Amino acid sequence: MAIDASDRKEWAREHFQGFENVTMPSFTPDLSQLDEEGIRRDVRLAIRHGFFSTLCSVETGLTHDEKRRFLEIAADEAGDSISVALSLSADTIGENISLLAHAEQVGCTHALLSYPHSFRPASEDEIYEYASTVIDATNLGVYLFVSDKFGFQNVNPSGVPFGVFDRLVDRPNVIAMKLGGMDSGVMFEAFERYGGKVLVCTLNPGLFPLTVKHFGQQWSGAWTVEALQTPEQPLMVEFFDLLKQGKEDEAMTVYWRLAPAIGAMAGLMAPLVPTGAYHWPLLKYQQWLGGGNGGMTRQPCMRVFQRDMDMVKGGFRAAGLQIATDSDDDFFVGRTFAGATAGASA
Amino acid sequence: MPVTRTERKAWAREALRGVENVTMPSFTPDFAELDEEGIRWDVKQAKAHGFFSTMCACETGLTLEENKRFLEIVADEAGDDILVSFTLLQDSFEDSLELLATAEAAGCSHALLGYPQTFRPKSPDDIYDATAALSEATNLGLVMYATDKFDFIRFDPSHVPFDVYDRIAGLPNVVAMKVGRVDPAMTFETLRRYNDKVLVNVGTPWLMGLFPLMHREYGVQWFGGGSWEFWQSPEKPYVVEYYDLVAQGRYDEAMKLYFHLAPATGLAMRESIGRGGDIGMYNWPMGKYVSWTVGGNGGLTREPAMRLAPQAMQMRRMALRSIGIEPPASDDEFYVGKAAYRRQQAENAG
Repeated sequence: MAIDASDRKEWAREHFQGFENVTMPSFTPDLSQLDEEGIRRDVRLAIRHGFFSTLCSVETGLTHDEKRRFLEIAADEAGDSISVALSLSADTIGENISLLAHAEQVGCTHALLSYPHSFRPASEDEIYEYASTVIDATNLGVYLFVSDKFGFQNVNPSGVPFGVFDRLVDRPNVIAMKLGGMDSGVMFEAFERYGGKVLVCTLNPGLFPLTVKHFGQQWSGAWTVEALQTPEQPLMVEFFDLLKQGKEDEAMTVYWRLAPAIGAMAGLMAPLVPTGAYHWPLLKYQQWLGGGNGGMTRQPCMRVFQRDMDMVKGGFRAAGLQIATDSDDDFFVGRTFAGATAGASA
Repeated sequence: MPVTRTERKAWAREALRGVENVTMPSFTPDFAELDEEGIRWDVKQAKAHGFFSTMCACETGLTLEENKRFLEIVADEAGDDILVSFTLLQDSFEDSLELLATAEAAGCSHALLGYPQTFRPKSPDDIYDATAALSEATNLGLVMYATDKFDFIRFDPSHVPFDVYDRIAGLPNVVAMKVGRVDPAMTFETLRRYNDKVLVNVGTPWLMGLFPLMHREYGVQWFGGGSWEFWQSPEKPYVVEYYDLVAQGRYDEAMKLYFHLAPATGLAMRESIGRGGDIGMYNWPMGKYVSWTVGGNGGLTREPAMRLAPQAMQMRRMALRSIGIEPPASDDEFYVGKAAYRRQQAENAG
């Protein structure tokens, strides 16, 4: 049943429990077409991981029609088993609104508010106007995004347009807030200021013990949670559940077990944060180790080096997580086509 | 009146309040001698900044005798105005014990627990035994240290062998804990385990923004030895003011000030002023440059030393300007240190 914008806050409070991961598109080995089977595999895997939602990242080198098709495939495979969200990271506001309409039609539930590269607001009012236009255009839930990548330092030295968010958080379909940066003061301020109005979340697992206990954080997303667990050993899901149950001793035991994998993830990802871009292939590699489809993404594309793959695997193994034993070469075409490639070369 | 080791826990709750900076030694331009005048200058600066304590960095290329003299100079200059602590990061436990004795006689109040680089404990019990020996040898307060420097990851994936730290926290003169790890889970874990026994501090600038939460929920009351001068000058002591505002529960004003510092923080994160946590050694010349740009003595340190890269210096200047502090116009004075530079100028004039 369709949910009206006015009911989205209540819906979110009930529904946003646990983790939202990121589904990235899969392609045929020549990267010319979407790999539907691979995309469906990844949605099924998100369900097996125990996530409540998966966010489709559309800023991964897709045409507008491919973005639409990507959402259709993901929503169809998800059915009622998992929510599907999208990142509003298209190149223009018009395309974002068009995608929102399509997403609503195919059964997506919410979207992450982002801003085009070319958006250079001179004032908070301009950000407010952009956000309002997008938010008012949909019945989907919208969650706000705190991120350095938008370059909002000109309106607030923190990079967070607090004055804009103050005005947006009471909107009926503004449901949550993703704290994409790692600044500890932004974290504190956002939870204090907006905690009672929207579902604020940090992505830093090391903060969860404090934020769950003192601010009632009930979800975290969207991020590649699969970097820290497998479907058979869903340690991050367990860690978060234990914290929510107030079982601190057990939770921290799980956390420290995961410390080597967290260290490997942080070591690889931290240098990329200031770039404002994501390493899609490496994130896909992390998923692939736990059974994801894998495969490379289109240009412009960061490369996957053996040293990075070894570091990821080392983190998993040090945390006692069982991972795929396939050849790393198979990752580069994805599971859908790995067998075919092997056959062709045999 | 001297504080005995059994009184140290109660003493600490009263005394360890505020922000503690780091004093690094100054040398003559040929690095042959300590520059007493420069060292004294830096202690006066620490007072001017509003720090309640200054931690002497002893792992900076000094002989044992020089380290003793360094502490004596700092403690003498500090007088009753400011506390003096130091790092127990010597080449051997014997040196650490000797330094503890000198420090106590000189009037230092506490020390950051550390272990020689050759220390390879076979078991967590070895860590306890070594620490207990240091504890029993002194009346000074001792500060436990959560860090990856000691390679204790062999015993616990967190880098902190908690079972043994649990016991160390119970020693009578172990008064506090410096959380030098950026992972906020470590702060949570140490507060959960040790907050009723020792004073867990804000031990890394990257968790400075969590201070309101740590103060309100856990009563955290001090910032441990760190390069806090990155964000302030004696005329604009922002970090100290931020500390005071939080301590008074004035969070709105505190966070406004905190975000005023955000541009400098952003630059620091790009050019890593703190390089050292991950390699077990700090860039002392960079630390001295940070301090010098806001009035410290400056001067380079002896080999082995990291180099001071021009882009890092430029970043430092940009960081200061971004928060409304104007750095000195020229770097000439820095390379030998303020005191030596003035002596040279006087000689040339004479």
